[in-house]
Amino acid sequence: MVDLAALSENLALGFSVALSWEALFYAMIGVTLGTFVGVLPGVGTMSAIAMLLPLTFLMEPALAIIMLAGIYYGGAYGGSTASILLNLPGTPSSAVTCLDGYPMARNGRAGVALFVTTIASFAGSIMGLMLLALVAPPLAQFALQFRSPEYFSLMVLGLMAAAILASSSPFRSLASVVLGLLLGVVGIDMLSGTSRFTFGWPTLFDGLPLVAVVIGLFGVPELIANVRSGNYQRPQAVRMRDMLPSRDDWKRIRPAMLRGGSIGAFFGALPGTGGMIASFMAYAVEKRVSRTPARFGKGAIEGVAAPETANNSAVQTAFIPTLTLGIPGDPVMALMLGALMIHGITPGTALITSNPDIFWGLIVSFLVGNVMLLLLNIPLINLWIRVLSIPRQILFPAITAFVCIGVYSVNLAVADIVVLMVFGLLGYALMLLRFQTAPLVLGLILGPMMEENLRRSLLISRGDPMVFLERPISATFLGLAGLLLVWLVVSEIRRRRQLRAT
Amino acid sequence: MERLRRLFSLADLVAGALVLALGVFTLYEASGYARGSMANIGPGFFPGLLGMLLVACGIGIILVEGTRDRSAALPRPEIRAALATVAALGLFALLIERAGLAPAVMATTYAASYATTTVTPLFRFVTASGVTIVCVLVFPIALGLPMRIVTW
Repeated sequence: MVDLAALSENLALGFSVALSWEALFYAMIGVTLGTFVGVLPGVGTMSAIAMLLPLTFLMEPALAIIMLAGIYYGGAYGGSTASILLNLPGTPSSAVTCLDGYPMARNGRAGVALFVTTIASFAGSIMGLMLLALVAPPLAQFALQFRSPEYFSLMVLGLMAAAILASSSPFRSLASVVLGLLLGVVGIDMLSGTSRFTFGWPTLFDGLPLVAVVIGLFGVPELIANVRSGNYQRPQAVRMRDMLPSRDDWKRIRPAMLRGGSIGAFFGALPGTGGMIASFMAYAVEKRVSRTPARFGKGAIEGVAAPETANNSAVQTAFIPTLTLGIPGDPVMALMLGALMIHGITPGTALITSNPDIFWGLIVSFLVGNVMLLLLNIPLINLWIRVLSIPRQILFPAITAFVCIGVYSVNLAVADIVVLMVFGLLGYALMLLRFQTAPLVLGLILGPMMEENLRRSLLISRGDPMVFLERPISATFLGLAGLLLVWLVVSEIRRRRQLRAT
Repeated sequence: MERLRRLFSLADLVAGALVLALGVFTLYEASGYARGSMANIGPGFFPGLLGMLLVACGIGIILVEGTRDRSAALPRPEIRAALATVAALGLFALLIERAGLAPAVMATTYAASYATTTVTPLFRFVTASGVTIVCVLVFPIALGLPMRIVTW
């Protein structure tokens, strides 16, 4: 089924791109900065990407994307360090690692926990990466037969999944998605020349500046909400020989990693869901299949290994919909798409065939980057522990300045900083009202594509909306979206029963 | 108001009402654009659809999410941090082209440091100067980004 000759030829191309000195250098910068922001609670991948954006304009697209991707998966490695040592997740997707990682640290097994999360992250990445290399090319081939109705329905499904699976407040998430779609409408409509929601401000005629909006919605609220949470005690350094797991530990983590990796690969590949859901799911599954569920929450090593594997596996498979369909699975992917588009490359079904150097170079660079992360996170772990004690009074103002420069450098436009400010405040208000901003960004990216495909579908069908149900692939996507709605109603009824029972 | 608060949680009431209002505004704004026909939809069709969805979401937030746990209160905002950060971004926007990168970064970092209260003005000044030196060395000098360091 898999064409091995073609695969090895493609991998050879990938190695030739990813093993150049430049590619190695930029991958190193990416994964190091990724680990850095991953380790720090309250500073996210988004801010890191904003900080490195000025660099990418000077680079070839393949190198730029290799570096930005390095931040993304590097962040997934670093997140667990603070979870284990401080009971504070460094990234949202490592929140669940606190549950057993922190108790392990309190039992004097911090070193083992840190070692296992790194090994698990590596195993998860490799599993996700293999899936990406094997699934993406045939999927892109399959997607060649997609026309407007299929794309529209797929986007409906992806956005519904993002809204419903990602949170317990589906109406809020759905509102976020719709608000995102609406923000995507802003600007001059290409077909009719109508200026929509611009309120006469020329900056908006070309649409909202993507980078400023995304960084505003994610980076700025993070800064506001976390700056005052105070400095933590400096955790103790870890000795190398305290890091090695025992034979009993190994026996427990191997099956946990396999399960976690599979769960992660699935949720990562689904557009709209990602590492956070994957890690929670993996933990829940691990607790359920365990013969001794009572150990969970008290330092069970499976409870650390499974979610970390899932999280990293999801990060790799998140590239599947992004690179094959041009539909980003999460906000970071959306920014990455934006970065590719700045370089004049439109990701989609044609990317793998038209720019094989980018696709396969990226795949091999993931492999290389993950090996670098292994080295960064085990021998150099004490460096990252020291990073945790940088005072926030220095760190946060500095990040604010870096973010400003990063956003400004995209278009060299002052108006972009104003957009950053407005959306920063909006993002903070949304955070306070418990709205999620990730679905909003997905909506913002997909909005123009969705309207375009809706318009074209209806044009082909001469105004008959049944076109979405008459075509089998499109109908399947909509059917799955319908199932999500049913699941939503069922879970709401169950929740209410539980509430009433207590 | 009291009776409303007994029925729905305040946070959800506020959130829902805002979404609802945005939906109504969107419907109003979209009605000004041509809707077109089903076979050839105009620029008002998609926004109109979104407006209706927003209205539905607003109602859903109040009626479904608002009746789950009625005691959910509004969280307390970090007003000081928000003001300091907004001021920092605003200063950057004001100064980057008029005064150049160095003054803009200096002012931004200094203003952003007011998000916390635990440090002295000297500490803020030293931090801001350090960040400024790093930014000037990295962005225009090492990376060659087209930004004036200082303009007169």
